[in-house]
Amino acid sequence: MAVGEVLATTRVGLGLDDAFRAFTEDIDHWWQRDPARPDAIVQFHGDRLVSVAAEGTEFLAEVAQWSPPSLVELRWHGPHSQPGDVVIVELSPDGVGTRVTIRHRRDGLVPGAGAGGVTGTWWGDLLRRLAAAHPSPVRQGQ
Amino acid sequence: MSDQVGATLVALADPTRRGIVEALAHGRLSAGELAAHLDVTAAVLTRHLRVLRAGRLVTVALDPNDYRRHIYELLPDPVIEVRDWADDLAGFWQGQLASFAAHTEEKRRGRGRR
Repeated sequence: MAVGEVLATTRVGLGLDDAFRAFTEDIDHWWQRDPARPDAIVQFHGDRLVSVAAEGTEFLAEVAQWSPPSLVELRWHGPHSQPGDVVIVELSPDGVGTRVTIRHRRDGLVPGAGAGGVTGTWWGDLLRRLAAAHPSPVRQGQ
Repeated sequence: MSDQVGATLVALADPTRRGIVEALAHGRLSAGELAAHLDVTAAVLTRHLRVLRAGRLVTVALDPNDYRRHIYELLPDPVIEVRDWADDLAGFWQGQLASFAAHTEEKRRGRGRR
């Protein structure tokens, strides 16, 4: 079965080693929590990424590969997950800073399904062609 | 993820079915035209079209000018639903990365003040 990915990326002003430490060791400082668990503590604990709250511990991911300072691969069980989902976090030098890229991989997801939007992607191209062929029913550019 | 999105992703995991969907995105086509475009046999095409129809991605009707011809048409709603779902997923991760970038900027400025 084809495996595709949704991709998100950013650049940060820290060097590679510091960026990796900030991503992993400081995750509780920056992770956007489930609004239903605003006081949860999010941390890597052993080979797991967990969210610990009074209501209980939520298992977000299992670490499949830990290769500091450039890569963490997670078997994803958190928000938006489906069985078999893999999330790959890649860090690479970008000038004096670091490029951080997250790839959310899933069976059956056509490559380039999303990249902070769908412009230029397989789905976006398909919808543009559909809109050209059937102008009225396709909600293009939502 | 809705059942429809899951069914659409499964249906489109196959490259031949993606080829059918891409071809139909330009407009309605007969089975013969699709088979010629994709260079597959009628039997193979029928099998893939059955999956796409079951996934409600494609509909079929008789050609009003020639009742021997079946005309296939792409239904946009499942495609739009997957596009919206993929956008939500990308938005979730882009939001996490934006929060991470803000955190690293705070750290960087904190160091600069020392």
